[in-house]
Amino acid sequence: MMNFLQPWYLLGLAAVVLPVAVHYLTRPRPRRLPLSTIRFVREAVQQKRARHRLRDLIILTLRTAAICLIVWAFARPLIGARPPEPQENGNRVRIVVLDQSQSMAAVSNGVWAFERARAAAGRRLSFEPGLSADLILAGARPRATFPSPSSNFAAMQAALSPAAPLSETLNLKAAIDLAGDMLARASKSAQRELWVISDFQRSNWTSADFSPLPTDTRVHLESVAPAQPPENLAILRVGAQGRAEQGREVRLEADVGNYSQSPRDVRVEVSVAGASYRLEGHCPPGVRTTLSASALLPQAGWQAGEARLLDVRDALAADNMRPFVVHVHPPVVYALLTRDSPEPHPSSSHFLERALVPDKALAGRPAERVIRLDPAALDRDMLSTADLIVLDHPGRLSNEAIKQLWNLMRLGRGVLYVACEAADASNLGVLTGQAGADLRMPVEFVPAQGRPREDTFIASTRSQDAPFRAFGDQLAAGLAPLRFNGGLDSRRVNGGLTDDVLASYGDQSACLVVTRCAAGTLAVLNVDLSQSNLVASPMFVPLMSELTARLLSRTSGQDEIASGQMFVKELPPDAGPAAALSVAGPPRSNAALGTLIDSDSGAVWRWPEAGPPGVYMVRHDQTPVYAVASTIPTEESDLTPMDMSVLKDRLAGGRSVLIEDAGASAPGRDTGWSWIAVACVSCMLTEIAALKFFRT
Amino acid sequence: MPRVGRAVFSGLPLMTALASASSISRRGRFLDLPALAALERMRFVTRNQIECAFSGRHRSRRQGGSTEFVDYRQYTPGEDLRRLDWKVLGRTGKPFVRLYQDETNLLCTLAIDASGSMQFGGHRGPSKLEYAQWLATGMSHVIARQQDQVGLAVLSGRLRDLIQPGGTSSHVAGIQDRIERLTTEPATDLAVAMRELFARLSQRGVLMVLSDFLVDDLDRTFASLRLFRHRRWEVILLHLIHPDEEQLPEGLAYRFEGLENEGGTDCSPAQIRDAYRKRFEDHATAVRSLALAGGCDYRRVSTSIPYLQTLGTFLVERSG
Repeated sequence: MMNFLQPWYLLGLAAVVLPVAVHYLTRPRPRRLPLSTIRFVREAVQQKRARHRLRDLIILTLRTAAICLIVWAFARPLIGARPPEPQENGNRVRIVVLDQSQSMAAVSNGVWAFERARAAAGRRLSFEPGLSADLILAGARPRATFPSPSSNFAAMQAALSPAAPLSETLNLKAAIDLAGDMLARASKSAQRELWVISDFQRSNWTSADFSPLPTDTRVHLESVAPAQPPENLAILRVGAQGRAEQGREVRLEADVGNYSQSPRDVRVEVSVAGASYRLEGHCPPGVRTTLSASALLPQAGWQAGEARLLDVRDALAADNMRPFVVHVHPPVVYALLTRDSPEPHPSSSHFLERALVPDKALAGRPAERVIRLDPAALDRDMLSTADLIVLDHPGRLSNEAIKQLWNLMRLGRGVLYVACEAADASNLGVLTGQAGADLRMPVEFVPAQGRPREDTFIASTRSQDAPFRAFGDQLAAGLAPLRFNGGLDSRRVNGGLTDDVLASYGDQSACLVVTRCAAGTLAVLNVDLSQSNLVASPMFVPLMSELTARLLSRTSGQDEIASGQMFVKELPPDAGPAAALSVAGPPRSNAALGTLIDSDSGAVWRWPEAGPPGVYMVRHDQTPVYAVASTIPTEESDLTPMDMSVLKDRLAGGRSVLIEDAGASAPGRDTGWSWIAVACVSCMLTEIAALKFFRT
Repeated sequence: MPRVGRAVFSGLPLMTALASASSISRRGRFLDLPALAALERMRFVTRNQIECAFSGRHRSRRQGGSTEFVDYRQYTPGEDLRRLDWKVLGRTGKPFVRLYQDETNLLCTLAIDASGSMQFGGHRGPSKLEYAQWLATGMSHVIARQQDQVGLAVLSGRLRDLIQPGGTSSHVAGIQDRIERLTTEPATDLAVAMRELFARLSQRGVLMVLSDFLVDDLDRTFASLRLFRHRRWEVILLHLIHPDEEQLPEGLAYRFEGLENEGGTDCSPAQIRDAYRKRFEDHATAVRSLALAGGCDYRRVSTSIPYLQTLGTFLVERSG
């Protein structure tokens, strides 16, 4: 079966009369000349006639064949099972959705996937009788050329020409919704067509849903993905492990995705705070590998950095670099709310203080410190300056103190509650009630009832989560000798996340619960430290260190957003009013930076559409008070295309879905015209040879 | 009885001869006496013995009372005793008769082909007919000047006109006038015309044919010419060829039209140039071969050569 990309060129077959017409029209006008020897002329003509007839027949055949071949080549024959396009003269509405996401910048065979897509879209946006169309450039949000389908194809072509891949992900749902809205508003008698030209990344298209489209819509999916997924390496995340503190070593981490068929040794250069660090490692195929290196960040505040893959040539170059920000905090200040005496004696709060600041005696380093506060006379200012609030034997707290605790948690403070008394159960109950729906703990702690809690042990842990993850294979051996006395009983709460229970005792009561609430985190350690051997265990200090690191990580400042996405950020309370703030983007960037407004809780940064990759900072008198890195969405780095049969069979929702291969295989099928052109040239060369042979 | 005679002008000065010639030939369009003066001392000589009634400078087929000794023959009783060689009789005792070559005058008939093809003149020079007219007029002048007799036959599809040979000045003037008034006819059948001419000529002599020999059947034409040869005529064929006939003109396309009601033919000369040239040369070769085979004297005459040069060359060769 043979189809043509431009079948109207076949009308040119009428030009086969041209050689004959040209022959007659250009035939020289004979001059009349009397000649006495005309008999010899006639004999010579008679002798040459057969030869000339053969020559004329050959020349005419070759010229006619050359014209037919030219027409054939212009019609662009396609050899294969390309479905015939409807050629009805009735009204047709065509929406062309062109994927403009970052993955369309992938290069295969030296050509952008987007360039192939642009050519395919251009073919669909050419004039046809009765056709009105619209072009939707689909990125993080769809951008339509016209509010409704139009026949102004020149404007659509003009919009198509400067289009280029954006550092965004494909918001397929928004594009389908917009296309469906346009198609639904078209005349009922019109034939509806949706052409989607994309690389059909598996990461984007698994959630495809065509239900917003009218049921009679004919969906054409035109893929520009190469037959074999191109190999790609990408930096998927960069940042500091845990909380970055001034003057303390921090682990810089870079996640590298290897989307290829073979393992790769990669090197990542991370530049931050005026220093460069080299991260190296081996990346197995198809997985995400975390590389890390130690770094020392001497200055506190927001630091902008950049990570770059070294010596890598892959399909998508844009994701070989990734900006990031690190908020370097000053040394941690712990607020310890306890009724215990600050005098050194073997009490629970003493053990806690020692565990929280185990190395405060080391000289030359900024010191962490613990501020003891009396719950009965709570110093609110001191409490608000603390980075982490630890409660141990606080007794029954006043409602006002609990309300202040909740406010600080809501703004991002971490709270570690070492619970063992009945008052603690009461306080947690009040706190839960105060937070309402923002705090849903998986268990409810109640005073021990029935038999006393003695000689209990940890029966189960979530070993893959902090704080237990750091112990690895030594966890079980470390926990086995631990015995606990005292503490609270716990009851499961419906609707609570059981995953928040990180450790449980043998009697099924919760040992450690970590629950997120608003911007902060609440950790409840159900243990009486003074009556257990935990404090004598070598696990105690690292366990507390890991736990506090988890609680502090919520405020570590490793913020990044996907380019093109809407971003709203409530700025820190100490940032000041919006009028005193300004936003600065990367150099030579002219992207819109959003607006800063004041709200009840402070300044808010509203950014409808995050700019291209780079670091954006909010400054107060040139001092950064907040920073965020706009990055390429990680899903754009996996260039593996989706199995198109899934789209056709399972996700079509009963609609007519036709699969096209414009990008990948169409050039291969469309090479016929070049061979025809060669045949045409051969005809012309043969004609010249024939003329030479017949000496004409 | 043929007379033994001498050429009338052979010993006269040039100016006298010219004056005499002017008295013989009436001045016409094709008679250029100043030009012909260069040929005054040339004679048209036959290669074979001829037979004529009057005495002249040409060797007669008969032996008679001329002064040129040829041989002895034994006397036969009854013969004229004036021819007996007495000295030989005295020395040998046997009677012998002296034999002398008789000299007679020339009868030359100029046969001009007046068919349509002779009208061809191409882009340059005179037409073949004009050239024949110049040549025939000059020839008649030369022949008449040497006291020979010249006649004229006009050939086309038939024998259109015949003027029997004569030597008087008025006769020659009449011939030259007729030559001047020659026109062509489309039809051509030299064979028929030759047969008619053969039937009309009673005395042997010289037949000089001026033609392009563009006929349908060369064999029939030369069969007619052979009749003259069989009767011991001396036949001279002047094959007139125009230079534009030898090769086709340059140009993309021509409609060639025949001059003898042959219609026209469209063609591109470049495509048939070689074939045409070969056919023309084959034709000329065939004419020459048939002429020589028939014992005729054949001359290929190009009309691009001035007729005086052609005539002079011809006379020199004939005299040599």
